[in-house]
Amino acid sequence: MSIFRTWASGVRRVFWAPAVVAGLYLLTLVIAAPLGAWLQRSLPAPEILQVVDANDPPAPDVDWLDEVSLHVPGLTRFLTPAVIGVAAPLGHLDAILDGSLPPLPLLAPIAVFFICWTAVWGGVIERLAQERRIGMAAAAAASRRSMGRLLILGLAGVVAYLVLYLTVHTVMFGPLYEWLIAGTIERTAFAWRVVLAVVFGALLLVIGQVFDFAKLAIVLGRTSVRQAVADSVMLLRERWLSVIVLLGFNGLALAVLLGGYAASEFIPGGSVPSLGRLIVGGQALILGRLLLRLVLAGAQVDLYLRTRENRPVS
Amino acid sequence: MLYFESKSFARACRIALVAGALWSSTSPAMAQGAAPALDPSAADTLRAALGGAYIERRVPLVLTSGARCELRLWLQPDHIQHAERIADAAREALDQYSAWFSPYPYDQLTIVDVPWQSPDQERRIPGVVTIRARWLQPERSLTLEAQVAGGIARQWWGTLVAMPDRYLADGLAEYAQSRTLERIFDRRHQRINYSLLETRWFGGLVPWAIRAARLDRQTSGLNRAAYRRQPGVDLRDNSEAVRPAQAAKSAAAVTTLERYLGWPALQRGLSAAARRYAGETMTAAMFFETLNDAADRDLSWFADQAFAPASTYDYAVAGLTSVADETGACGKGPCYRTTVVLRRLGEAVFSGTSLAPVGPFESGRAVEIEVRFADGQRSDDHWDGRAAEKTLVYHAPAPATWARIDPARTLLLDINRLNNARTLTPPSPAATLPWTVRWTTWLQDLLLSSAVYF
Repeated sequence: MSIFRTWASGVRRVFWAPAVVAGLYLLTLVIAAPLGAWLQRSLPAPEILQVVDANDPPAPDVDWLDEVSLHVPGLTRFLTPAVIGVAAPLGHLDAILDGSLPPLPLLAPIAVFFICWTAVWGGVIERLAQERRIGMAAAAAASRRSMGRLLILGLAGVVAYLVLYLTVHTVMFGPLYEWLIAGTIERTAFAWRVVLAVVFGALLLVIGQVFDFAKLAIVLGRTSVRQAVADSVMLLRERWLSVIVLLGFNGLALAVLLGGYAASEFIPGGSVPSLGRLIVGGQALILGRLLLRLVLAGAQVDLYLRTRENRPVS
Repeated sequence: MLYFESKSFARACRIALVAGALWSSTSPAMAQGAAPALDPSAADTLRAALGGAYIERRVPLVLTSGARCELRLWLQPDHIQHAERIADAAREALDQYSAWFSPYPYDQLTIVDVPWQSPDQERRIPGVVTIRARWLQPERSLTLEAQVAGGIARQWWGTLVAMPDRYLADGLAEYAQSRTLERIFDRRHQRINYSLLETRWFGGLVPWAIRAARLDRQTSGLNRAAYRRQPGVDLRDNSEAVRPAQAAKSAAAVTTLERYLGWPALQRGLSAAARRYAGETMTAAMFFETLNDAADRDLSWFADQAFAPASTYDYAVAGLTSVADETGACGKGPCYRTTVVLRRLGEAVFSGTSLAPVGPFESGRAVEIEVRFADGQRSDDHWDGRAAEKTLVYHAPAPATWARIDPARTLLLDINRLNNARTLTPPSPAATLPWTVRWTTWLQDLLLSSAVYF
């Protein structure tokens, strides 16, 4: 019951911080939209010149798209049918489990996003922890105060993930998986892959939680990076069940969000929506995913603060 | 279910064609040769060689023509749920190919579901088709049906008619399955499409059919993407690596013929070839000879170019201008001089005839050009496609709005359709904006997904 209160507290903290949500949403838009505009400029007109009604657009021409991605240089190289509908988020989640990198040029916007996200994350945590307006100046001060250490922690996280993918993932989904599925039917292979994915996913989550709580320790506990990681590990050892349940809540909410987004393709006109519906639906998904990330952060803040309060002073 | 043999079953699948529009089996010129003998133990031998557990289903098929055929399905245990889909696709394919090409020569067809991890290996066994079904198979993605229809088409092209030119056998099979799948999709979903695009995740184990991505038989159905990536593929190359591109190029060539000659003429040719060379060997040259006879025209101008090693087609509208003309060429009123520059960028020629040009006069009119003017007028012209460049000049009371080469998309072998049109009016962004919106959302989602690492 108390862990549900923690999750609800995360929801409440985010609900009362619309500026945080708007700011981070705009961050994704500010990075993605110019690249989108660049893509729009480089897209050639379809061969069949036609009057297109924005309310009743033609179905995507996959063959034309293939031709464009092959013949037109620039960002069109990365325009594939995988961007359509729920295939986009599902493909990204699959890439996390599969350990596949996005196309190399797209690592640049991701790096920019990483730096911006890290730069503002101190202020975001401070705002979620205070549960009241703290003003731009206080948020900026919190960000400035912790940015260096958060950046070091973030880079350490990237290295940790790289090591995990290059060692554990390579072995698990390479020789081990091949050995497990040798001579089996596809259904058995699927079951083995689920088992491996659960194990690897758990490792990813453990590392993720260590770094998440370490960030809280840096911002709210004002500790060093090393001390923050130690504090985080201690918290996770004490409250591991609560953390698992929190992640479960968030995972469930993400499944509902993606399920809803996928279901929208099945309603009449949903598979080839009008331009307006395409924009609204897509941005609702982005907003939903961002909200879930922030709700998790809010719940983690709540858990961190309550754990700190209950810990005896040494 | 078991099908009990009867005396009338002995002549099963010897079908008299019923569709009047199709080439008749009673045509005197088309005496059918003997089909290769069916080895009743071949399927068992194959199954034993493949190993693994199988579940057998027997489905008696009664084709539209009234012919009967016993369908035996040997499926992997985790694929048994697809038995109905496979049987339906097999029925449709047998029905159509029997009507289009020649009656299916056997009273039995065995479909063997190869274990998913077995290496790819081509098998040409009379009466036996191998497929590689997947455990999860979305309903609207017809990749399974494509394998069934393609495999059955190979019973004609490569088995009934031995074909040393692998690319042609593969191309005809690809072409045939694309037509069959369009019918299946139409029947099941009341929409003229080939399939929905299927993407696979989780190590290829979990499929997802993208509902908005409806595939077209004349492009995706022929795997044009493979040809597009290797347009200069050498059709005589026997390596497996180039086989998809070879098959796609051949299939695009056959579809180009369908669009140029019309389906009835092409079907007559296919039927004639299947009957004339049943139980015998047919080379590409023999195939085109038969096609010439059936279509009653010389198609060597196409065959020589399309099946030449490493030939590529690429026609383009290289320039379009419209300027005010003061010479009075249009009589009274405003006048504009429109210039359309056409270019042949590939070495292959789509002329329409084997006759050589005489002096300055062109020979052939296979390449079509459409020019539209601002006042709604339209001009349709033709070109023999031989010269490296051709310029068309129009005097009209209105400026041109756009010009297009091959507007009906007859030449499916054209490797770049993006250069087939030019416009003088800025194109509306409405046609491409949905892609931009989707991509931008995809990138935002990629950023948020990456945030799990920081």
